[in-house]
Amino acid sequence: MDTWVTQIRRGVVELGVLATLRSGEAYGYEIVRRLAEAPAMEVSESTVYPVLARLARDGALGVRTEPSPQGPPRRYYRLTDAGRRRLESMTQHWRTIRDSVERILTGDQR
Amino acid sequence: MTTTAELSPALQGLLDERLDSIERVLIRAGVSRGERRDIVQDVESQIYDELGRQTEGEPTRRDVLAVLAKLDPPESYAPEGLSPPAAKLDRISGAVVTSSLAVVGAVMAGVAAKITALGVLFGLFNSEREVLLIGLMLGVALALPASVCGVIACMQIVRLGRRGRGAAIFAVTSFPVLCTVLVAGYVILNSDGLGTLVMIVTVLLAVTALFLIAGRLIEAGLARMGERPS
Repeated sequence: MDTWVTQIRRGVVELGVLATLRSGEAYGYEIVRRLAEAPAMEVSESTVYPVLARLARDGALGVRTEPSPQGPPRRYYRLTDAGRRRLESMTQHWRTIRDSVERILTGDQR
Repeated sequence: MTTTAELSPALQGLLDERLDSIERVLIRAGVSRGERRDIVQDVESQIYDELGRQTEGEPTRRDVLAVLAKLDPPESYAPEGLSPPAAKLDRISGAVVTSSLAVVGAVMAGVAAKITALGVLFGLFNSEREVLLIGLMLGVALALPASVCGVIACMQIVRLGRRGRGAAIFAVTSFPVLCTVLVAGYVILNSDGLGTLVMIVTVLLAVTALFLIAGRLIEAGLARMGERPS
């Protein structure tokens, strides 16, 4: 059961990261904190940073660095056009799956 | 602009050690160099961010250790299916696993101590030097693998975040302690009555001091490696 919940959370982290950046750019730890505010997500930096690096590699995220008041320069992530398309597509799939599962759970399979 | 210079070399070393551990896990997992660099930079940025939040002025060793303790363990950076089997199982189950080597080492150390104690008691009451020395040597022989198990267990506890630190420390100290007892026993057997009493007291003090020193050294070593407090 725990493994199943973990897998679901892992599966939606990418969607969560992209959705977090819809309203504007943010640096890595800021994204972690925003996602962590959603109780059911239970994500931490070891889950989010690899996803950010992969999305940047895939061109879904753009990155710029800016000097930080604390330590090394921060890496700010923003959605690219490809990232926005990916977010829209994933959101659509997520809603379809969510509605289908909901219908199955409630016994309303029309 | 960075505040990296505000950390002393020792504290910077603690931080670098954690970042290197994460990078090693990512290398083992086959993550590309560019992604590794990005991930490690984000973690480093987070550490400084937290230090800035939690401390005013120059961070102390305690501050750095407290921030490091809040981070995910390096093993959790391995992508699913590519992590070391033990770390992967620990992560999936969410449970903190006790190091089996620590348990094995502690059991061996306990048996070694009992054999030694029996040999010493039997040898003293029956005035048989050979029995005493054989008991001591058997104990020392068994304590050597116990200490080896303890050292490996300590590394597992640090790297994989496992439990069993007390058992591991007990196992590590068994060999040096029993060696001391063996040497002391040999000296006692070759001394007179008053000398024997003085020697027994000296040995007891030495063994106690050795236990304390070994325990403190291992604790300090674990703390330096950024282990989470248990």
